[in-house]
Amino acid sequence: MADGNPKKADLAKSIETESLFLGGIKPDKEWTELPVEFKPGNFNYPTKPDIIEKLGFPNPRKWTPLDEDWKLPENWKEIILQALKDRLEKNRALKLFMDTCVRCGACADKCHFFLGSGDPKNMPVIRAELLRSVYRGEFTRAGKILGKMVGGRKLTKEVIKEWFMYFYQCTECRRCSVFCPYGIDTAEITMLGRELLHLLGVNINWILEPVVNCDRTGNHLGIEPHTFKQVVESLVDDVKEITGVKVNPTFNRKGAEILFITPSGDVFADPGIYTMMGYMLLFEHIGLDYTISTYSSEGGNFGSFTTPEMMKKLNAKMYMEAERLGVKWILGGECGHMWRVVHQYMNTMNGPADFLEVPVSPITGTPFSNAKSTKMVHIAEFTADLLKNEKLKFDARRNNHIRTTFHDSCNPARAMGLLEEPRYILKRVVNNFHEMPENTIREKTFCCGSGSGLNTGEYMETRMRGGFARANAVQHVHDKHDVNTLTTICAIDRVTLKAAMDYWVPDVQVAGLHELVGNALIMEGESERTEDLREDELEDFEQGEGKDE
Amino acid sequence: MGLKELILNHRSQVTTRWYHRLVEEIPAEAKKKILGTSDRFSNPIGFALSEGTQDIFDCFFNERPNADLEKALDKIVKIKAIQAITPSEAVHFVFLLKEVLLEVLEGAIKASEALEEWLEIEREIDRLVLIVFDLYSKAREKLYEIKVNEMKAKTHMLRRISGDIS
Repeated sequence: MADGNPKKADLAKSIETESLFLGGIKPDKEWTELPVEFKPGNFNYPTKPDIIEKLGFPNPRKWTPLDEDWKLPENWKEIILQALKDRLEKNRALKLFMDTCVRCGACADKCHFFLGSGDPKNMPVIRAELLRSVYRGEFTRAGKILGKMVGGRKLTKEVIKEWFMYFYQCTECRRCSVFCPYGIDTAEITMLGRELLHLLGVNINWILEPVVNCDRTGNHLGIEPHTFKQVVESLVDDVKEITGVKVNPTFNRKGAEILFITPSGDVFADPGIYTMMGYMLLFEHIGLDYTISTYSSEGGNFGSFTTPEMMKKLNAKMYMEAERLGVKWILGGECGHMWRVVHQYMNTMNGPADFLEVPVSPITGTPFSNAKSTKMVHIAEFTADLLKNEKLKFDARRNNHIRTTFHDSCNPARAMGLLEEPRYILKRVVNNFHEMPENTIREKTFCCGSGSGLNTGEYMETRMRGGFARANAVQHVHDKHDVNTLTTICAIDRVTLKAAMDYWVPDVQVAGLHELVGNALIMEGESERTEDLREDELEDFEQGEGKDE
Repeated sequence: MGLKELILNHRSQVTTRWYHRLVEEIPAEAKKKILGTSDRFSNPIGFALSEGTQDIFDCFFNERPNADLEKALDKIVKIKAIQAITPSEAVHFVFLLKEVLLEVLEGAIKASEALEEWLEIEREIDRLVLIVFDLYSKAREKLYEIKVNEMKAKTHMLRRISGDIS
């Protein structure tokens, strides 16, 4: 092959022996023998040096995973081993996760990345083993002496590369943990793995740039307050054009009863904006005394994909803003990981928020005692309560062109158990609702394949592999029930599932729950509704006498 | 009995063997899990490959309309198009069908009276490769389109207020 062209015989041989079906991995080898090969499409771009500098994170530099030399700090090994030692002493769950696994394999085929790639290192048990083997090899007596015989190995630069590949090929969705008989939370191991990698400056721009933006201006895109307000007002104009009703959000208004915080994707991104329009219609419908902050203008917390300290800082902004504005409590929009942070970490990090009141719905009087510490209520709980108390006038027939299924977003489903409320709402505001199969929904829901900061353009192939399990279930209800809409309650889902649907099930669109609520609401003084919030035509039906609850 | 009829009578052996040839490229540790269940939702790739190979077989040998054949091929092509493999590796699965047919029906194919028919079937399988090449290109183009659309969608409202779109 001196001339650079493979000979026919070599080509035939390479197709026979190296034609690898999934992910470019070698068949019939143990995972420990499988090399880590970075190729375009299987890694995210590293963080730009100025972004790392702004955050004060270590080792800003230009590099790419395709480089042989990743320009790690000279004492990289010492840094990692010391950091792991500290965390093993501080974090008892981590120590348990390291010692407890019996490699029963219950989690192995539960990961969407494994199911879409066939790569054994995407089995959650092996993903954890990437760290666990180093723990054994470097920290346990048996591992130090017997090494590979007891599943131990030494920390090498190759291991760091492997960690980068596979801790960023996990969306921290926690589906695997549902099946673990010991309750090992592999997402926590991924979080820890990423945290260690940050110490070497091994991280991705798509996560850290939004963190910098959030830290400085309050939202992922780094949009300043006046533009944020201008964008929301533009959506107000859209709502008026479609419904004839002027909705009246306020900004940074001191003394409002409720601070409303939603992911900025609902404000800036298509199709999230239709969900934002739905929220505003709902609040107008019930006359809610609420305000939106242009400083804490982001529900998402990409800090949670970096370090506990950064997660805490970004989360604290929401509460500082609530305190500054003097609201009674916080209402949170349709977001995924925001709710994991609020439900599982907020109270320990920044709570209890005693300067706020235990949330009580001003419309129904229902106290949300589940939120008595965080003082933050999920909008699906809030709206379900409105429906239960018959406070909404709506006509589900306005959604007759929608035949929907519901995607349980990983974090609301598995991190806070929000399973019934979205369905309760959906079944009332839509006439055609069909569940996906049991082992793909609720706490067993499949991830969109792009969460935890992996929704980059450069990672599209890997994302499509990760999204295949979810898309496969959508395809099933599309074929069986002619489902044309995938409803979800997470802003990242609204972006990433749109991509997954465009590729795998092109006839299915992605909608937010409150977009469909907004479609169905009968507003006082409205004009005849001929279009939904996307300005798609409604199906013909007798308007006027709508059903109300 | 003509060769094609014989092939149709061996549907199960051919499609099963073809499916196994596809999944034998999966690493051993993963293969146990992939092949461990036939449940569509626990084993989506295995299901797609199994269903895909059977549908292709049925459409191809029963001479169903091209649209049906393309749909069946697309099931596998879309999976191949997002793996870390080269385009030639992605389309290779069609050639495996020839090998599998030869393995299952070697004697009948090598009989002199079947030669003409076999050459015709081979030519038809070559045509399949061309269709797969088109579908593969389409899938890749779709990925690029999705990337661009996603970037646009992310800043949809900013582009709107700046007058970039209406």
